Amino acid sequence: MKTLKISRGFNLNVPEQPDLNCVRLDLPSSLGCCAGDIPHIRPKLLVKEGQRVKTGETLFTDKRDTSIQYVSPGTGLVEKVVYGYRRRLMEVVIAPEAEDEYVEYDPVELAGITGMPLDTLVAHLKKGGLWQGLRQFPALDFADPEHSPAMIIVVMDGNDIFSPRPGIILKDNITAFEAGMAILHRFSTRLDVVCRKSSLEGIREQSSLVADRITHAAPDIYPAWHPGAVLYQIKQTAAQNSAWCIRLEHLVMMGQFLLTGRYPVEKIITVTRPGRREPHMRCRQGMPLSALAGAMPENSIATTGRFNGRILEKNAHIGFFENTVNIIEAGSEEEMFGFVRPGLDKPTVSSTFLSSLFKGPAKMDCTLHGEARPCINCSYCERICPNELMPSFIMKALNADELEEALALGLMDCCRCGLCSFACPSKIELTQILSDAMDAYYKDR
Amino acid sequence: MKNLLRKFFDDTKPLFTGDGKYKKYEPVWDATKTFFFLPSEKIRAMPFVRDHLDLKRYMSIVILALLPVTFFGIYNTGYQAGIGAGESWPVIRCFGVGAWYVLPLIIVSYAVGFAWEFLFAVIRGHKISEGLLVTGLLFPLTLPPDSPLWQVALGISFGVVIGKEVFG
Repeated sequence: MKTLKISRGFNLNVPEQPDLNCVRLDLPSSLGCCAGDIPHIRPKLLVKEGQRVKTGETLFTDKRDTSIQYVSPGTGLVEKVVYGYRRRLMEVVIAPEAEDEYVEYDPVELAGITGMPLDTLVAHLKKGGLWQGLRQFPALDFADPEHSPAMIIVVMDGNDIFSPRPGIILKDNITAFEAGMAILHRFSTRLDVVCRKSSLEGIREQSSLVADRITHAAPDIYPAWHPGAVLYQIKQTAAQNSAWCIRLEHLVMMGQFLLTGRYPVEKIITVTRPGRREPHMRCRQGMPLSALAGAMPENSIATTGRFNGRILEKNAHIGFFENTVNIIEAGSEEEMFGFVRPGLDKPTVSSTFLSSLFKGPAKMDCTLHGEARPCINCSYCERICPNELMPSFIMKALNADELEEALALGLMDCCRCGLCSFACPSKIELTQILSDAMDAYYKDR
Repeated sequence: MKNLLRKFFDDTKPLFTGDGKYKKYEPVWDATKTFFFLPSEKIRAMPFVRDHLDLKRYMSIVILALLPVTFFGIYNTGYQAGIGAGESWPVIRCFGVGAWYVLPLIIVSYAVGFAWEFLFAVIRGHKISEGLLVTGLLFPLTLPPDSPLWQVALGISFGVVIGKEVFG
């Protein structure tokens, strides 16, 4: 096992770490299949309100490739179809029945995966609504089965610092993990399995066989374990720029689906909130926020990743690619003489507040702490970027419509971890500018 | 004190924002307000947590770091004047004479610089930048202590108008 040497990133001491116990949640009164969190999708709805659907039945597909299917996490009537801005499909809400009726497929045995024709395997996974778990760099769109990737990165940990621990996801799922790895072996000979150092122990407790499969350990500095940051560290050839990646939970789901012939509906979710340590939660796919978080503290927001998630509205449901909910309180929107206070309680990566002398718990809130200003070339974004980019220069190149220059500065290496925006003292939305430019470039190509 | 200030800014807000009578002077009002009350809006885009460092704090720290240099500059001006006069002056006198020469440079630099900054903020409608606090102190530190004040004014005007406003 190699250790990745990533020293840039975010390593403040954030409290609220979830407890390693796991509780089981009941079936909620509504389930959602979410389109809002899926990158690049142009959804096409296939069901109507009031229609009854089985678990695993297709609800919507992607107009760009209609063989990619997004399926129902429960059995019941389609209660509501929620549209967002410009009638973009946001989610399909289902009122679940207590008993599940599954769309059944033929189970495949672990040994059978290696012998299965590749087209059948791909078609099977697409029909089962799981192919989209495999993502392709650089834009992290769904993987193109025609393309044979130079490597596949398996990421054991999620997008947030407090995403579910791999040890808990792997519990009772070792065979499914092996099946998932067997699937990946069909597409590439090189599989790189990456996990956080602090997750290793939990994985070893579940199975030493899985632990032996880990090829890279990433330091516990956010976002060292992100697929984009990992790829940047380990890539050696240009072909690897279009590698694939997959998260552990999707890999396990693929395995479960092949072994049982049914769409796997279970999911592990963590909820973090100020002043409390919540346990991991074993629940359904598509849980509503209300069932996970209960009563929200006043003046707070819920996100699916404090650095790179999306804001969850009150009645929103958790998407396929999301497995953590962060409840972040808003501090006061104004502070008297805020700029001259010693700031013992103000977490920062700079050394301009007293808090930087002590490694106490960093209390984060969801306000900007200042106003937008022009860039002053302070290089805070550069010093925190895990992929050694210069976000401020890329931003300036993009503002001047110099796309070539932005690409030369490494725009497509951005892993959208959100740290440049986090650190910027001029409060420039660097991550959003870079991320939008990457998407536009990818769409245009 | 806090409530009085708060009340003052709440009362004057309609005059300076929206269709207010002095809408033109909003940047000046805004700069005064944010000096007392550091604004911290709710975040709309990812990431949803942000560092506490902002440009006001950043520039305050730079000013803090510049103060020892400034004080030494003042002292040294007086000290050299003492040597020039062929006498050995006590520290207090060095500071006193030095301040007599140096403080007018700093005051003129800040006054003229902020006048231009206010003018441009009002005309172009942008916010008043904290960067000027640093520029306005750095510039006189580069000058000989017996520079004529009109040259100081001319220099900082060039810096703000051409350097900062035109080239950004």
